[in-house]
Amino acid sequence: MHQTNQAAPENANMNIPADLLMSNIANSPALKRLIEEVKNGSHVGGNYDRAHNRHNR
Amino acid sequence: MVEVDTILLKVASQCNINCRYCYVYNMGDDGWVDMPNFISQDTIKAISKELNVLKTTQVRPFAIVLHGGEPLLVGARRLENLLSSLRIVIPESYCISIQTNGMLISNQILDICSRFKTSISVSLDGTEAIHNTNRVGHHGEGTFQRVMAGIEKLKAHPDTKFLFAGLLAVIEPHSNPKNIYNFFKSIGTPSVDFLYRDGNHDELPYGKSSFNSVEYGSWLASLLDVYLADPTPIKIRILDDIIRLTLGGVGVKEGVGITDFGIAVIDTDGTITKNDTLKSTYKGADRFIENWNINTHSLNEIFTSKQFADAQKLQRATSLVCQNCPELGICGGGMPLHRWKTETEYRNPSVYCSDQLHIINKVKKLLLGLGI
Repeated sequence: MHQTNQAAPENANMNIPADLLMSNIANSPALKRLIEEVKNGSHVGGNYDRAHNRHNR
Repeated sequence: MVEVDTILLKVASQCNINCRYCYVYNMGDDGWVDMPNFISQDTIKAISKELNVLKTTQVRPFAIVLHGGEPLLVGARRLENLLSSLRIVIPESYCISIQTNGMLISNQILDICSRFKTSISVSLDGTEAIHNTNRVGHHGEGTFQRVMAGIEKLKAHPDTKFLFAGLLAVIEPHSNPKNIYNFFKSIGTPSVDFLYRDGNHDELPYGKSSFNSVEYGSWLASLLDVYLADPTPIKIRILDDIIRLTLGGVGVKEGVGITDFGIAVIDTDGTITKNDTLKSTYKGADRFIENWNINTHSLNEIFTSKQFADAQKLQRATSLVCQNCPELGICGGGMPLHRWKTETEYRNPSVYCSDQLHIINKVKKLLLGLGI
């Protein structure tokens, strides 16, 4: 009952050349945001906290 | 005194759907059977009174989460009474949120949530085929269309920017993470919280072939590629936490990292319980020995007790494997429910240990490759 007709790829971006992938990741807005957040601690107590309760359920 | 960051209110004990993997109804615990359908007005009063005290005795703000069952089963009138009572004592700087399957979202509900500054997170596992695999009604019917109808109302509300907090999705390890990510992005959600399936060493989670297998880790690793290559990404909480922890920061949620995230769960009859996800390990695992109830006991008395402190300590990884693991600071040993084994109780690494190491190593390798 849990099966799907979709593949389970090890690398969903394997059709993207590795150097292009790394280039994209080097400019990643998500990564830049996270680096900034760690630098200034802004993720603690910010709006992101309200997105989900802190406990997985 | 234990500080909590979450007060989880079970406002409805029943649910309008019957997800196949639900830890409340379908993993052996039947505590909900004896609970009143809805939280009572007296219990709401007692909660408000206690939270009014807690906000002065605890320096750190805490969040309040309305949960169930399906919390929106309480209906508009009860919800308004509940939120009104809470907001009289709880300032808007304290988050109140609802975790819902989204099917009962109405404009009236949204107006009430907007008025009392209460945000909404909707549970949606992915595309229609993926979602309907497990999130089904009581007759086995898929719920995707009705959930999406709720999300459309949420998106159309004038206060949607505040109200729509994000999505919660249980990972289907056989799915294509790129498809799932792109689907969620197309919905317009600001963030997604991907969760592992519940399970433990006695009963391996669905999709894991062995303790050492990495089905979930591989899935997250592929998701990471998609996420970081996206020029306009939505937020993915579990990846954000692992990256931040790898960079030397802290996580914002349980399951990774070693921050203690205290929680108190209040059932519909007012009973105080441990983290309710422990229900998935054995029947009654979330119950304290003391029969604490918000109608008869103060939170101060409970939060200063050894029993409550011991329950919070359960989050800390105690197995020798974890204690000697160089990645403990990032991994944190996973969630307690995933560590359970009858013989050794919670003193084991997470059943997702290999998956956690897989994704952590992927993040580390990637950051190293970028010279970070």
